[in-house]
Amino acid sequence: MYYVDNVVLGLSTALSLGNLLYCFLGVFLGTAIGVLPGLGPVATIAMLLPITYGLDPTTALIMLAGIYYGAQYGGSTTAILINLPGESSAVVATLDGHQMARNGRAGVALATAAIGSFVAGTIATGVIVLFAPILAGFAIQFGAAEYFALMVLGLIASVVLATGSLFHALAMILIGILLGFVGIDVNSGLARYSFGSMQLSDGIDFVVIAMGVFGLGEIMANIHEQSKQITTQKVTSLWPTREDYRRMWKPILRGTGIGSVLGVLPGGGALLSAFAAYSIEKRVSPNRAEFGHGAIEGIAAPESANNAGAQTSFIPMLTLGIPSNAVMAMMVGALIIQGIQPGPSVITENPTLFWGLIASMWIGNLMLVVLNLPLVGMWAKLATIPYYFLFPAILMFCCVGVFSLENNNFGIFLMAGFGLFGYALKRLGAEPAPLLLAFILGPMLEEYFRRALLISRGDLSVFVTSPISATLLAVAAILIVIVLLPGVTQKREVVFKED
Amino acid sequence: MKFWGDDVLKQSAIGLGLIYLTLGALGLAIGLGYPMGSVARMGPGFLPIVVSSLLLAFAAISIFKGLAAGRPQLPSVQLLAKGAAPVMTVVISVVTFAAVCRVLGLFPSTLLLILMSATASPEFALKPKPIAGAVIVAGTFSYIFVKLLGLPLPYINMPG
Amino acid sequence: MDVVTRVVAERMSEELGQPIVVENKPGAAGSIAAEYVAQSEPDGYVILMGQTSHFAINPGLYSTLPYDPIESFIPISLLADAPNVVVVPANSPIKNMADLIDAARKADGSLTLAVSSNGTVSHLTGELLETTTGVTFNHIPYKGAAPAIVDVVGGRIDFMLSSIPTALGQIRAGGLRPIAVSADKRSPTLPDVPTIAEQGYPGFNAGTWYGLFAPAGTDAAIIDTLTDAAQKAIADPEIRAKLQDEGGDTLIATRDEFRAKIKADLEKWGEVIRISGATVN
Repeated sequence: MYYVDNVVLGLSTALSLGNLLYCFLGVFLGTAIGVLPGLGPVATIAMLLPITYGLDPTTALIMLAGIYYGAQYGGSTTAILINLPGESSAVVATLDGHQMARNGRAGVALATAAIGSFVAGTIATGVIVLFAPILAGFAIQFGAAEYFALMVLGLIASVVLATGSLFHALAMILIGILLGFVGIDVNSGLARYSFGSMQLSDGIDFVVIAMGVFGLGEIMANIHEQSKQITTQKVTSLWPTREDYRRMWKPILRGTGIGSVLGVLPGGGALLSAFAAYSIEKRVSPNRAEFGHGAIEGIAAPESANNAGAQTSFIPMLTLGIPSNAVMAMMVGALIIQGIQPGPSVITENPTLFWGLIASMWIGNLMLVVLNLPLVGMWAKLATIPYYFLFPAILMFCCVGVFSLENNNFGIFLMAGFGLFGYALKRLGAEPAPLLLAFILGPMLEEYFRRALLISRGDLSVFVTSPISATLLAVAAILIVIVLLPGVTQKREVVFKED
Repeated sequence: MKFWGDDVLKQSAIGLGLIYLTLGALGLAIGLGYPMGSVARMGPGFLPIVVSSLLLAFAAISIFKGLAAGRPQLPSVQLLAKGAAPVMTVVISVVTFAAVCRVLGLFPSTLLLILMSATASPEFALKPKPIAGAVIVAGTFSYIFVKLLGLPLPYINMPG
Repeated sequence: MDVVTRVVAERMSEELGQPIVVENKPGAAGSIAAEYVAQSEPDGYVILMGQTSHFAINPGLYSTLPYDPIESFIPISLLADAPNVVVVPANSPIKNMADLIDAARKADGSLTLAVSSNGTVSHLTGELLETTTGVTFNHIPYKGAAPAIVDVVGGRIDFMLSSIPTALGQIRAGGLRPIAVSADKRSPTLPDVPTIAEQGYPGFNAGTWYGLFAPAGTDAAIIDTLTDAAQKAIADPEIRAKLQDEGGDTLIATRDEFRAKIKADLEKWGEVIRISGATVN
């Protein structure tokens, strides 16, 4: 009875005309921002915050939330079309999604992403309704040691992302970690690799590297190859075939499961969910040879995980008052300005807010799929625009996007440098995806490792005495073996052939 | 997934190795200047030194493998120059944008960016139609970002 | 701090009859924003929302700063303060400061204190606490307050000096227990929590203040207009209530008192930094 009452309360709140309107505005804006490279939900929410002061807190939150998960939807659009991830979680979408676009299947990729996201969003909303308190309790269990183990698992899983050479993928990971060290070290307060620049002492923004390596690097490589358009194949049907549907439903479900669980963990959970889903799918799928060349599972799984993670990342904020990422932190701020203290009491003191938001998340997902599916055709056409029209526009978005990060041009210079670097990598055949993920995970790995040891006063056993940490590390060890095994057997095959 | 990679990667092993070498050496040289500490009490220099050293090891292996695979065919200088020109055009146009965006305002800077970078493509020619298109795109885009979204840059900076 | 800025800015723009745009310039613990204002035209159109860390702490931590805390700016007005609250996990045996110091002595330096970022008032308040009480803690740095709160609520950390708004949700829900506030008077948001000074350390006073600054060289008349608007804004009971929701309170002071406060804090925190040996570069 508890659930039914609250769901009804939620739906009646969410279906009010005002809330519907603001929900639509939010998801529309969110999709637009997600599509535009460089401009992210954090900056947009910051700009729109003053507008929310005059609104009812539930309405304000509905709109801001719409922007957030709408951006997840849109972020994969550029990743698929032009190999440019709008957000860290969209990096995974570039792997198979962009390959599908190059094969003339951009429409199918986009449609799969939309469908997967909708299914994931629906299921995740259900998960929130049923399991929010349990999941919140689960999130609290994660301390430094547990997060460290999770990151180790994540880093090893990211190795699986590479399709070319394991050796060079590992080198990319090392470079990514090294780049991640630039900035102020949390534990000592020392500015590392800052070369005396105050800007660098803040670290390198993910968007700068992504725009540089993926954006500029890709453009330069395409110009070099004198690509006329993004896709050289004739654009086939826009919609997934029966076979596609058959192949995508299991990855969608798996991705949703992974995303729902990992999204709850504050700090990196949502990002991890996307490529954990990809890695697992690659291991489990019967079509694993296709991964990296346009396998539909390779876009279905991470996109579902992405969206599920985006929904469940609201749980710590709503139930514990703890923001999982910068966007959530802004929403906490918005609530405080409205006089609401986010925390465990929100469910009991502000049931309309809590249940109304959750109901509107489902409605927002519905709106997104209704909004985006018809647009798939338009986006797919974009892939056929002559390249010399397209790339200056992309450059324009990248430059302004990077500028808007800190309202200065230092980042743009950095981006140009990374562009050259990305171009060199592409020409030499290396893959940048593991680099980007290692860039985010590496410093976190260090931070959690050192913090766990600081708390335990140097006692290394803390990583195995914690049940969660021990389990995760064991799984990581198993993964290493699994990952290395085919490499070893492959080598053996080659040796035999040469004989 | 293979361990060493396909033929393309085998040929570029030296090139990649050189990249690893530069980054690893830089990382190590600077990293050694930070306090290292021990495994249990890591200082800020510990992991940078470890990671840089690993990268240098990878560099050595890569270069060695590349040399062992035989003489790489280096493209002629002319070919390199021809390939480099469009790439550098893109870089220069981005850098120019960064340098002038505050001075000239967003509209002129994006216009400059679009026109300069477009010349990197052989299909582009500075004819009235493309230029007009560029003006419209730059103008609308800049308008949206400066006036509607409040980007803190002048739309256009008139002298005086 | 963002909340304080926006709320006050809105009220001030009503007073001045002119819109005030809040521009975020993040980075380098606020030095980037401070530098930007210091180098702007002194025409009264670009002003800085500064806090203790810019003026009293950064100078001690960074070997070179692109601005001088005293010379580069003219103080317009103090706005509000934001004290820290000492919180422990809900099921901790520590009920007050005496328990805390006792436990710290017994633990001989291994009692864990979560610090939300190095070089902030929160971090240095911890150092000040050590010198005042004579015990040492095991400082555990975090990137931001949220992960620190999670660890305290989870019982993995012994205590934390948090800004009041960050901890308020958990305090009200029972996940955290407040045992003291760091300012010289009690916070209106937590009226039942005694100050550190009340619990045996008279004179203990540490917190963040926020104030408005204009670049040096700005015309005195312009400064007066801005000061007037700012003072009217914080005198407004609605604004005061909003600031109290943040856990702080408005600070009414003249410009000279403000200037004196900055100098005093610069010395006080400079001393703490010197003793602790903390630097960034």
